[in-house]
Amino acid sequence: MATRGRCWTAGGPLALLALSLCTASTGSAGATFAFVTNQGDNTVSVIDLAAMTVAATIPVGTSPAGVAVSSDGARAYVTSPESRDLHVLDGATFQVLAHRQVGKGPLGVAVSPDGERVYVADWYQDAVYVLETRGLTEVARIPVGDSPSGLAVSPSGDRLYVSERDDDSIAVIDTAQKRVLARVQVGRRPFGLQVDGAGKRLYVANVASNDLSVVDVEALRVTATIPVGSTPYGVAVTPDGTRAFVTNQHANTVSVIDTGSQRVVMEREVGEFPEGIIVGPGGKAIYVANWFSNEMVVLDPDKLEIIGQIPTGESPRAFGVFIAGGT
Amino acid sequence: MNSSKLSLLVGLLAASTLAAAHGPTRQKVVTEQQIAAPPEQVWETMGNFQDMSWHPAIVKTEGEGGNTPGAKRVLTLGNGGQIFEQLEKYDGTAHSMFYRIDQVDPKVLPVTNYSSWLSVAPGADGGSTVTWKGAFYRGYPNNDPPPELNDEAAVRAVTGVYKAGLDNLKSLLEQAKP
Repeated sequence: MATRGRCWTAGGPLALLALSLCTASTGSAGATFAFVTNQGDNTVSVIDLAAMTVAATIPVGTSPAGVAVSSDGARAYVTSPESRDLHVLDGATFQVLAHRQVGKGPLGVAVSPDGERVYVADWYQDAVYVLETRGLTEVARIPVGDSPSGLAVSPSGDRLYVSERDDDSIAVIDTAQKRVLARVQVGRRPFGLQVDGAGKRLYVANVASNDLSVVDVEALRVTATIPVGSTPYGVAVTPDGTRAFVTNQHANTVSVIDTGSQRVVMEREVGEFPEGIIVGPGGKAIYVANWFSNEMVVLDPDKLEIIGQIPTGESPRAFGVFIAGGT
Repeated sequence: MNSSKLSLLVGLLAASTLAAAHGPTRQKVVTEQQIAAPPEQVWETMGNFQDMSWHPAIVKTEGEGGNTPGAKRVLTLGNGGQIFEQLEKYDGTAHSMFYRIDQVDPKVLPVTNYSSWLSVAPGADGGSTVTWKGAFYRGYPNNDPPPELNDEAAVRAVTGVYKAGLDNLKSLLEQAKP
């Protein structure tokens, strides 16, 4: 039972008090948190998105980098390529529930929409591990291309997309058959990627060619290559799929792409060396981890103005879906 | 090995080191130096991408493209080692530049995927604060690096380069005062 996340509902004069206790507790029902991996100090900053404050700083393995929060927010999965393991955090109490070794360099991580499977990309062994979330038992190990990094699951859960950084390609995995169905060449050194809410388009950030590949996942081909800022890394898409966002590490900016015209409509400075990026639930805000400036910034989704700045631990990566229901 | 094979190898090496495979954890180094000279004067000494003579380890700077983004330079060290760099951003008014290493032998500097910022800001009493920051991975891209190519070695080497450069810059500028 999650004691810290519990909310007593009492009637009468105690109701107000109970409400205030509830919102002050770390894991209150309905609260949404960002799980930001701090690779430089072996912690995860858990940030309360409503209060825009750090709710907890949790020691997690060695140099945590990748993260995936289940769609119901009950679990956060954190990878540490340095110590070659995966940690499971309770989404309400923030306690470490389990951990296990995975491969030689686990980085990219994603959870199936039903929360039953967790996928881990092994940067060194060129494989994707399929684990049951219950018990963390290995179900399959799928060989993929060179240096798999980003992972994205389709909204239906039947496809898993993998960026194969040093092959300049993405792999399309059938999650039922647990095998690669197809490969698509994209730009140079693809890293972060995200699929839109309709599950039709995949956006891939190409670190070395400074552009974003738009992949039609049914036709299995690149339909557009959109120049963005220098050294693009992470990708996010609004729930309705009309806009995509890319962090440009060397430019210290986020590029906003209108997915209809497939053009950059805005580029804004957000802080130093931005990496992980996600559109929050309902598309109300965008969250970015700035690796060099040790913070998570909150951006207004329309004008991209900075509306919040929360200090994190050292060298935040937040590589993956670091907020439940984020896109 | 004949010369065409050698040039092919050099070409492959250049291509492979550009944003090549890297270790699991990017490192950062931030070094600051207070200098008793105005920012304009400090920038005049160290703000030209094509002249790194203010750094005691650099014996020669050769390059092209001036201070325009995309400009290249080759730094030669006293021991003959070379570092190939490219300018990404330059702001002469704000006194800042951002550049990256396109190619370096890890024996010369044990890093990969290195990028760096140099900036000068007003400091105390009309002086300057010079900040040199770097982001990079260790020299050995795979697991279980040898000690001379691990994370600690990379941080130690970059810290040494920054400190030596900024200390020398300070003495150049402070000694030059009348």
